[in-house]
Amino acid sequence: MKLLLPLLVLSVAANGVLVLGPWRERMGPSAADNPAARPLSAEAEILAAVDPDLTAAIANGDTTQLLTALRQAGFPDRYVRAMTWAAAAGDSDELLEVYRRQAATPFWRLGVEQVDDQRRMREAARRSRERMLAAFGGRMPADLSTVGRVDSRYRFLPADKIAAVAQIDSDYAAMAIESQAERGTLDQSVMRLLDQERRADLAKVLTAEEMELHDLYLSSSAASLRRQLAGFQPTEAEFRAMFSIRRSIDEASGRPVGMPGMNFISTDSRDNAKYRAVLSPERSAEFDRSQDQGYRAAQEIVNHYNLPPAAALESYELQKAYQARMRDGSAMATPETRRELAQQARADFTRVLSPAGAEAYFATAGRWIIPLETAADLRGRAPSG
Amino acid sequence: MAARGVILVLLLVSLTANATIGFKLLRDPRLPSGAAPTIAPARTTAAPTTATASAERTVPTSPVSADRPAWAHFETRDPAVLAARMRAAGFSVPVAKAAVRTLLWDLANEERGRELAARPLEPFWVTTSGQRDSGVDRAQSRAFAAREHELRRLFPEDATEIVQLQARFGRLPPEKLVPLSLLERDYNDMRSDLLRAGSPGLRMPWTADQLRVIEDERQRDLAALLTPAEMEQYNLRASSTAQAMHRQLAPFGPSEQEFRDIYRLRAEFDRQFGNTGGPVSREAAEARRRAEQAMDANLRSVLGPERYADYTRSLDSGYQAAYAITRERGLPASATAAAYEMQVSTQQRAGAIRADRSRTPQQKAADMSALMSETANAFRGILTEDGWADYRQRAFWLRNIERQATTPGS
Repeated sequence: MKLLLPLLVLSVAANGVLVLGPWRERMGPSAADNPAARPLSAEAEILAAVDPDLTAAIANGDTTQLLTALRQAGFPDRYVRAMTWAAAAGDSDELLEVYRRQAATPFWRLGVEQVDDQRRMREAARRSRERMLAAFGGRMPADLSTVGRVDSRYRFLPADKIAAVAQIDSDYAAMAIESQAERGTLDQSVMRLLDQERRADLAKVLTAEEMELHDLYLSSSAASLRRQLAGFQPTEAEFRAMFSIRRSIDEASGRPVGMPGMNFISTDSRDNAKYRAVLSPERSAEFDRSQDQGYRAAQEIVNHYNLPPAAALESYELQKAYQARMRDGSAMATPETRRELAQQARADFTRVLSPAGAEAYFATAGRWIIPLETAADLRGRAPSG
Repeated sequence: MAARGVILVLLLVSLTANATIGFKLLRDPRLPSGAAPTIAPARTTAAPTTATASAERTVPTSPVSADRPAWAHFETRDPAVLAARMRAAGFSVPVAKAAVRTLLWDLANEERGRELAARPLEPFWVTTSGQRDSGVDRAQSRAFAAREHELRRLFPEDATEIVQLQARFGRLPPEKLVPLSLLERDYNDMRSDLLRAGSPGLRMPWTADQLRVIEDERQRDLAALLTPAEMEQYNLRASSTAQAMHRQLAPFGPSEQEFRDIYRLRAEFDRQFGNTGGPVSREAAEARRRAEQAMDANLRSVLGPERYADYTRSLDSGYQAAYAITRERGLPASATAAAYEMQVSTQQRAGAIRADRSRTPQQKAADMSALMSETANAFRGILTEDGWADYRQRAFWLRNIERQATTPGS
């Protein structure tokens, strides 16, 4: 009896251990013994054991040390760039202080304080850029976070050149942004210089033909030209020829041809004569029509009021006919002839574009009628005959 | 004796149970056969949408050992998990946030890249590309908003955004700041879409009507979000009228009452005649001119003649540029007035050159060139060499003179 009782107790205890242990495992481990749910401090300890350099860099906040540690720890480049940038600059205390000051500034003092705040922000941004550049050895790595889009944007180039070209474009875009941020304004002479350097770098990577394609797809001159030619629908050959002209115009006027985001719409009608020179007579006429504000306004009106598409062309022909008559001395000879011409024009355009459409036309591109009506002062009066 | 028998039976049952359980345990594959030498993965590639609060409280980890880089400890496709791992490792909030933002970018760009790759490359001569860029911008704007929303959710402790928004909108209740900024962005997008939709350089009459509808809607949404007192604060700090006043009136240095008076008159004018860039009929132009005259008369009456003169001078972009450069470069305050006097004098002399019918275009260009050179030297003396370079970029009144100095007859 004396021996059996302790044996029974021990056996029951063993039952408990054998049953409860696996049951706890199955029901889910506690934070204490499950590595998947350790308390935060435990994770930091594990990281310290795995990578003491990274742990030290995290602790001391030095940008250069963090950069080195992140690279050694195998972080991908885009993470290294973003995290180092955040450590060097991102949301620095300096900038936060400026924001706090602005938030506390009464509304009537905001303009006055803005000048100083902007200076402080520029200086803070400059210092953080310097820290960042120093950490990266003087050259910012490309922002490859957009790698999916980058590949798509550069699909016209051989695959093995895309990364290098994207890096060059990204470098110069960053420099342009930096220059703008530092000066508070966009300096065209700096942009020109950057563009020249960028093109020189690209020329080391790309053949002449690839360089031309790069310009045709991505340059600001090509983007501006595409916008200008909306409605003209050029063929490939026409676009190439017109782009060549546009590039010469931009170069002659000192505009940076290739810098992204700097699109200029040419408004000089003398440029259009150069474009016409490379087009056939029929296409030249179509080009003229596509550039005419009256035709474009008529197209907008046709779309807005669901008018027959032919009405835009008819309106354009009417406009040309009336403008020709205005150049004719007899039609402009007296207030009566001018008044008659104005009345007739209003009636014709109302017939073609509807009353509301004609009103919209004369309020936008149809302002050529003003000299007729200003002299005769007809509007709002009943026609006198 | 009976008790001894019971104990014996119980002992036998217990020992049998021990043997049975022990045998089953040895055969059960779900139980660890020994202590794992590395941290076991708890969650590996869970979709971002399945992130839970518990994932943020504790730190699901990846297999890490001494012979693998530490990045393996962090790598995941789940932003919530990455945020938790970054926090656990002790990274500061901005740095951790930068890492999570990068992951969100990667995920969004993978998707975007797939979309773009599936589309044929649009030839460079296809001129619908003006609209193509607009679509890309809008998609990017939406993706950006979604990412920022996710970051806000994952880093609720980060006060940076709230401080930035307070700088812009004033000290409104924090819970209203983010909705307010989203509201602003949405309406700005709507305006941009509308203005980009038409033919380049052509603004049709209905565009102005559509812009007014958008503005009315915006005002309704603002009124629903803000109390009247908050709305007043928003208007005085961040409305388009107030922003223009902040830009223009720095040299004027308005008092609170002056600012309120000017705001009241200008906001009413902007409400009626706000610049939509659209065509204006002769009647509308005349009405606008009369309203502007009335507003100026009211301003003169409210401010008094002396302050009104200060106010009108403050609206001049050349004066604003001189003021800003003087402040930024720590020059004596008198430099602003000296620069403005030089501006007025130069403009008068340029006007006289233009009006002189006895001179040929070439002679006028030479006169303008000499005037420009003299002006540059004077400004260098007032604003310093660098200040003058800065001023040339900002002062639009110089452009005509520079053009006329280099292009005869222009």
